[in-house]
Amino acid sequence: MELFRSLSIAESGMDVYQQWLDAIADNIANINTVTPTDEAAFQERFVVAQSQIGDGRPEGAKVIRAEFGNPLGRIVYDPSHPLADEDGFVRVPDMDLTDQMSNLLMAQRSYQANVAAFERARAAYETALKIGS
Amino acid sequence: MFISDVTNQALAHALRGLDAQRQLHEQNIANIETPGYLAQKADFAGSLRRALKSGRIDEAGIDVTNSVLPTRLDGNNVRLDDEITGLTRTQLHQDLVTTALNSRYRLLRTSWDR
Repeated sequence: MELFRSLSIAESGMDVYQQWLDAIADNIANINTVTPTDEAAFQERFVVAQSQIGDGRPEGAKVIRAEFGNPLGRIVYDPSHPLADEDGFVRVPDMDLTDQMSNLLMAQRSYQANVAAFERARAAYETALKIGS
Repeated sequence: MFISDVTNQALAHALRGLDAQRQLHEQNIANIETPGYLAQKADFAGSLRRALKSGRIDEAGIDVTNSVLPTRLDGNNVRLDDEITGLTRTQLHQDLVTTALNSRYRLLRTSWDR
């Protein structure tokens, strides 16, 4: 039996969405990272969350691993690029800024939802502490 | 019931431990930009549990440990949301222990008021 369990559950959610936000920020930072065709492209980063149960009670969520996108990326013809091969091709990451921005919005809202859950739980525990006073 | 029985001593120890915990949260936040700084946390419950089991409450101490979370590029591993939520948790916990101590003292007062 853990004291203030709802706080821990909300915290675990904040942690998951914080890591997702980090991953999305990394993806956006590298959206224009160009590599030569003989090297792998930047791989889109995903986080995989899993719900946690301990002794039949909920314990929130946890990031269990990271997954990575396609290392082949997309081949783009850009002969003036300094990294272009002799045929004029470079490799760019296979990512879409629209996807990243909508994921960013989702991750941010979900983080805020967990903060709201934390605040509600705090208020509830504070009320419980007033019992009898 | 004595003023300083084992329950009150345990509660007092919890208050000291919680105060140490709060100070460490504050110190961690203060050092959030210090390169190489590792977040610290205090644990009083494990030591208190052992001391209560052995019946020697005065041996209860406060264990301070470094966080093993992955560090950032500057070698620092303080996470702001962890510290802020930790402060809230510590405050609620302090409220709880103080409430318990208060109710014990209130009980004691009823006996010497007559």
